[in-house]
Amino acid sequence: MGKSLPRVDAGVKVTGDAVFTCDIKVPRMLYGAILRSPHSHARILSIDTTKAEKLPGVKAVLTGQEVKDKGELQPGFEPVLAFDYVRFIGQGVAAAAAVDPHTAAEALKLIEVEYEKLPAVVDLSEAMREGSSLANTSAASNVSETQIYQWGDIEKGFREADYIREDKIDLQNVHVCYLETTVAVADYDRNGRLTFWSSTQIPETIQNGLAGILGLKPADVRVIVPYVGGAHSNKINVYSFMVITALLSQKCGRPVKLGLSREELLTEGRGTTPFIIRMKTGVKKDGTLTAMHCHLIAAGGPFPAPGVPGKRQSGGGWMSATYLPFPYRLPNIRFEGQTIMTNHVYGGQRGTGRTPIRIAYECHMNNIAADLNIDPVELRLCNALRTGDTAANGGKMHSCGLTGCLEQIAAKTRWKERRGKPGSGRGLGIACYNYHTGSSFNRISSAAFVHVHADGTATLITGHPELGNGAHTVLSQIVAEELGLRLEDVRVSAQIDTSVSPHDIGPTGSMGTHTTGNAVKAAADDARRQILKFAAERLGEKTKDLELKQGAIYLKSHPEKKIALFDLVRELSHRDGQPVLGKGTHTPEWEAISRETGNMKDVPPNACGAVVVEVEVDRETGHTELVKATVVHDIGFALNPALVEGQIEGQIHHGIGQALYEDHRTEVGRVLTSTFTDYRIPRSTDMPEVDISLLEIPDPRGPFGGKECAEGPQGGVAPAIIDAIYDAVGVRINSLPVTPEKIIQALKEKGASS
Amino acid sequence: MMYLPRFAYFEPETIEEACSLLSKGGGKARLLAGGTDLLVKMKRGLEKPESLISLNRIASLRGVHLVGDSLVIGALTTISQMVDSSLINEKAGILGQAAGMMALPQVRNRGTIGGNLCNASPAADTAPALIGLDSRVRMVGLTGERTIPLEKFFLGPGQTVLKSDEILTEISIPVPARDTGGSYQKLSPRHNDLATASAAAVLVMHPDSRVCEDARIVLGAVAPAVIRCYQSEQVLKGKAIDEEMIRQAARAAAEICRPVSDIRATAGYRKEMVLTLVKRAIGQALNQSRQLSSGGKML
Repeated sequence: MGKSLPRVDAGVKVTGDAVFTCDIKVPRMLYGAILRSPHSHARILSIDTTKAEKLPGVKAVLTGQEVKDKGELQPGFEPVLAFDYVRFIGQGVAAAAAVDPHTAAEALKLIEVEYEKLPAVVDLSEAMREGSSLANTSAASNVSETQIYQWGDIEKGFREADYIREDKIDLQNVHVCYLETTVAVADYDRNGRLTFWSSTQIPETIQNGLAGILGLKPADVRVIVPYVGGAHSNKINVYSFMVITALLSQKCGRPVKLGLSREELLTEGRGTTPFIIRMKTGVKKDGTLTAMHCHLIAAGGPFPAPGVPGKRQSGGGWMSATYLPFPYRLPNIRFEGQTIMTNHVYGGQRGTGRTPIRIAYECHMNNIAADLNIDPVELRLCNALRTGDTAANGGKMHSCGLTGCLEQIAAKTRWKERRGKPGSGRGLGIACYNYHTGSSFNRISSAAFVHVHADGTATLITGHPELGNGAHTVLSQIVAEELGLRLEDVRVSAQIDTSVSPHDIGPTGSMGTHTTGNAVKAAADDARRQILKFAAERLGEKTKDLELKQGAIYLKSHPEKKIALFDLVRELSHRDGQPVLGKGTHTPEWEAISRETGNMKDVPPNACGAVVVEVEVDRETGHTELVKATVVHDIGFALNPALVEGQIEGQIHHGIGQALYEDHRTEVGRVLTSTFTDYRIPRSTDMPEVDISLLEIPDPRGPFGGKECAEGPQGGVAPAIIDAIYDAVGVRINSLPVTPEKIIQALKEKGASS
Repeated sequence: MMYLPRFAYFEPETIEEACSLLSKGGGKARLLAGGTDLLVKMKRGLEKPESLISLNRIASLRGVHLVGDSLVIGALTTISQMVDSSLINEKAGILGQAAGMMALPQVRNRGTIGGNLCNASPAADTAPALIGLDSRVRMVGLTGERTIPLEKFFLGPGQTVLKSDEILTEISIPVPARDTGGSYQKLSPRHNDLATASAAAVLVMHPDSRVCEDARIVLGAVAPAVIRCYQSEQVLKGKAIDEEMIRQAARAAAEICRPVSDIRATAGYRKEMVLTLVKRAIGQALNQSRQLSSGGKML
């Protein structure tokens, strides 16, 4: 524990033996494909599938009319297939299953759809304008939701301020671009049971979601999840293509595989929503924050869903609001969030709703620091929440290493001597981040089984998919630690199968190591207790006098008195037919945040940190070259430091894309970035030198004191880059991505005004 | 998912055979070299040829050779081979430089010089350098062959002077005089992306007087085709180049270019960048020539 052990799945992934959903082939399997709307908004006048059905090799064609009674993906959400209107480019209007992918694609070409184009709106600002086209003709306005949260008294706070700063930050639509595109295999048997292979983060969500839509009992939906090739919070939902795959299988009575191509994913563009975030903050002369008024506008898709924006496509609303009280002491906050409908759909991203608020807040802090002529590190040190503090929404901070992270990063980067030489072309920028381990929005538990075998090895049976983040390695380390085994003697059940795997929250909300990790720890403890109890009987000693380590049970006082784990378990299981099967569960100790008020009592284990980025900016072309990214992260306790660093490196990568390159762009009737030629994610060659340090301020609730590292750091990357550009050439760009052209424009405006 | 449509496939072993297949195809046949442009377009439904004629079995179309005073590059030479070619890097460094700034290794390993030119993208990375080097292209058809300056090869985006039975077989570059300096400058969102704007400068300098005997300034991605800027060249030719002349030449180039606004950049930004790129290209070409000439003296 605490060592950078190699990943348990490294071998099979390097050799290509690891099985992903895209590798799954089952006998008699057909291939499905979806015909998609080329229009942003249109009425479907007719769909003629006659020719497609006649194409040899085509086994089924499905239209929206046939399946409209199946319901919507969630109440108020998009239908499985459009039947009356299409509301976004890429919305499914029909689907086909055929003997091979080629024939399925050919079949789509033979489906004739007549549309009547309707006015559409894809731009967030445009959608808010009085008299704008309606994204959904059944709604009276494009505003689908307004939410308000308030803590303290902002009027009083602003009265106490010596200075007030206002900022507006525009954030773009970005897609996480996992390596394995979304894919499913559905096998609907003739007894009405569905087996469903899925590349998902949360098998149970898929199980329950599909059961609900298809009118099945959850027990009749068996979801199997092999290795997942990346997910980044974008594979947590039941997507329409999954239901279509199941329905095609039902219609033909054969298994059907349906995968989305990169072009389809980038055309739909179900990434994070664009945001317009306005922040107005009062500050005292010494830098103390007194009040903030935050106004957030998020796009929410073309469906007027009731409910909470943060829970649905928008990613706005309360998830954003409830992150405002962190990580600075700010007693008076008012949040107003609006969700606006446009003819575009959105999905999850690392830190949905929270990363955007972090980016805006950190940019805002840097602007305040510049206005007040306070060093941005000092401004943060002056306001940082500390262990024992209570945040504005009542959240008690059980541990917070932010000041330590700031001090360490300032020393490492020689911040004081190197920052603040505007105009030099080279610059250093900073931002902080903060993230709660384990979602504070829900309170969901995980369970785990640990099976100790007669050969003295153990298998962890879990419902927790391996996304490529190393979860199975960390969970195996926990089992090895608790049972005194070597890591190589612990196996993880190869794939997740909801018919046998225990309940699991899934790797989402940065709670995998915490919630499932604690459950695994409990299960291993349970197995250990069973072993010690039997060993005590065999050795004629008391359980408390025994210990289990290095494959044997010893009498603590006389270690020569021992029994090999191998012998003990073999005897138990072979002679007595008694398996050693440890069971464990874990439910987060804290209460979920109140949806109504956004209040909380105990802040979950709080991870935080600081990012410093060094850039070089070409004044003549506006090009930004990243030189170095330094991160100091409060991890509580690093169960496997190499994996923690890997997570942070991945977020630096995502953050760079969001800051400089990625921008999913759509016009009415046209997607401009449907391939990797124009949707530009950073390549390995675009990564700067990376320097990551881990600070360990443990939280007793985390397994071994550990805290999250999977979502927080990303929030600091883009604002640190923006700040570094400012330090280099003296201009601040408040809209992402920061293109060379925006820098040149800002330099011109600055030149004109000075 | 996007799949290649059905097509007939031929693998001729001689240029004559390829020309005759191409002619028989009657405009519905396409030549296949590396496929990095064509196959992608076919998958996206932008090209629907009935047959593909692969040139990959015609060995004579490959390789870089010195023939007399010319560097001859077979049309099927890959971009990677050009990057690695010591002949190219010694005799025509700007071309090696440009090839190295094009795309990523996977594409460079497949993509060919002939394909890059015949695709006739205004943003093609090899074209400005090759025009800067005064290259000529040889085209072979059923009834004979012809050789023209590369500059006259492009008609517009995706359009060339190739006739329906003609194949681009090789590119020849007159080996530059010793004191020739060249530089290719390119702007793209990330390194080695499709160019937002690019400029090549090749300057032939008198070894003693340091007067510019000949100059070629070429722009990419800022007009319907790669274009040569005679006006800029006139500013430099016959003179000992100074800073003001460089600025003047750059301004002339910015006036000539006719960029469009697209997803990568606006026309205004591109025009402005032409100024910077041309200025930098001339500056670097001068530096290079100076280094060569002082290096020569040391010997």
